[in-house]
Amino acid sequence: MNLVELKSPSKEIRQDHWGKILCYAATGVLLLLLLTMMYFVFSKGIRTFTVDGVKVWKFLTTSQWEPTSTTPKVGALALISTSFLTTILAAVIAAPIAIIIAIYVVVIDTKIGTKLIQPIVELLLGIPSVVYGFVGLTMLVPLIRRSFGGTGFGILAGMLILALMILPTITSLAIESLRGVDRSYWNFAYTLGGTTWQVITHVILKIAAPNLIIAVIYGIARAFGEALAVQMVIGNTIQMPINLLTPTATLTSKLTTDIGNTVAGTLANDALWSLALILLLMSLAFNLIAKRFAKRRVKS
Amino acid sequence: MITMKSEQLLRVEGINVKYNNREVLHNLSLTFPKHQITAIMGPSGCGKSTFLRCLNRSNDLLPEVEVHGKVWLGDQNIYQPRTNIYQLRARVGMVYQQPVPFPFTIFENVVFGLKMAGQTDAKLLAMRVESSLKAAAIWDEVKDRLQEPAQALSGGQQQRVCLASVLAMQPEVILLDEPTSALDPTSSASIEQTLIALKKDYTIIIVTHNLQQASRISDQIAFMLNGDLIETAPTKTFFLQPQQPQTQDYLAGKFG
Ligand SMILES: Nc1ncnc2c1ncn2[C@@H]1O[C@H](COP(=O)(O)OP(=O)(O)OP(=O)(O)O)[C@@H](O)[C@H]1O
Ligand SMILES: [Mg+2]
Repeated sequence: MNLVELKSPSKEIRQDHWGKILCYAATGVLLLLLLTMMYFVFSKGIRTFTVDGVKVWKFLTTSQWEPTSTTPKVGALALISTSFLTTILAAVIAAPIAIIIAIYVVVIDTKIGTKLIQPIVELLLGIPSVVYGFVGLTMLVPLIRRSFGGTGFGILAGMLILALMILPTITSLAIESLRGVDRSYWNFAYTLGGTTWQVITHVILKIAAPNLIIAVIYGIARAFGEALAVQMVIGNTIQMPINLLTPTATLTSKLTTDIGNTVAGTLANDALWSLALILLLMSLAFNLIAKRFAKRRVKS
Repeated sequence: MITMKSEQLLRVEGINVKYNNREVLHNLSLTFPKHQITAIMGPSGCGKSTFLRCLNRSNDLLPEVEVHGKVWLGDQNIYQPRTNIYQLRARVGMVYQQPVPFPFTIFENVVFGLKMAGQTDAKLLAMRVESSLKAAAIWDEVKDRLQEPAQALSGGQQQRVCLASVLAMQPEVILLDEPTSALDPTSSASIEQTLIALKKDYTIIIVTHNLQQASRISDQIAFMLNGDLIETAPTKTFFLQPQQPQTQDYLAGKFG
């Protein structure tokens, strides 16, 4: 090796250098995108309060939505409640089923699980939400109308469609979580006299718990942000959700219904931006909660 | 003869094992005397771990495995269909090659099997934790940190915690698959001491690649080659008067 060669960096070091620059650039673009989006939604979303003079407190605790009447009112409580209610009920239905399917795939019958169930789950994952909405509209809504009376549109239809939509999401993440539990732990439990049921409850679910919670949170986040399918079955009238058959609206369904019908700069338009702001803050919150559990997983 | 028989806690009679229709153990028979240490030796891949797993039916957990033959534990053939394999595994404890404790606290690890067996008496659990950790020669090192994660311990300590989890079940037989292969000499020595001390209460079967270790702790040695049992003899005889040419070659260092 001679001194001349050592003066200039090697080819590998230069490649490394370029690789790094590319990484930084990509990260920069993503960060810029995120910040622009946040700025955009924030600056527009707070106009309702700063320019139009609506009280934040009023916005969050009343549920009349008449931005174009002579005494304009914008209260998002019904929308917020409906969003939370449909989402949580959807998760309550979907999460246990998803986890049971995941246990079946990973523990009970891996052959049928990986050859049949998993491909089905992946297929369902790829179906666009409008198709779910269409199924809800043509099958679920009439069914509910016939069984329980009313129009059929409403929270019940919304939450069932959402449950159906997030089932594959949660299932596929839950399968990954359970697979992540090292085989050696199963075997150790078996050699200590455990039954398959005990291995599932004492070892697999216990160790995978933080990841399963993350899976459910992602499902909830997806349900919370879903607009199209919900809009098709929920009824789109603004009312407090008093029972499961109330036709009502969610934050997202209200946004998709009205965004084309308002003029920028008016209260009607600003108030929709405020709804978008709530959605953005909620999705940040879901992310933070998921991060907390991810941290706990690393520790244990 | 009758007294002899009661000294034989565990007896293997013509065991055959196939993985995916490939036979890897050919008709092995072997008797393990009660309260003695038997070392199973042989080159890598000869079937030692497979053989060990036959003794608590943990081969049943693997896919595509077929076991034929009999294993007598006391007067019961553990391969008869009526055997309760969960009770069996509590009676024949096993520490895997490089065992990793559960990602729980030390205390939870040791009581794990007992809790699965339905034991909830807090006092009894605490007592069993102390006695098992003492028997596994790790009590003094961990007695002040029972509520800390077991995986924060060193490799040798983790191994002994796993041993304690097995001992807590009060098994009759303990199977160990190369318990010291990943340990430093000090930890190995303390495991060896532990096993010698445990021998008065347990029948121990250990797979090892280490001739010195076998000579230090075992009473009997079984030598395997390519799925066959070549020679079984008391430890001293095995080293001083090996009968089979393959054994002589092995002792001379001709296989791995
Ligand atoms: N789960 C399995 N599936 C298929 N074949 C296996 C399996 N486990 C072991 N075998 C095969 O059975 C034979 C015996 O393996 P075994 O693990 O019992 O050997 P060993 O003597 O314990 O080796 P080592 O000293 O390396 O641990 C080997 O040929 C191995 O490839
Ligand atoms: Mg082995």
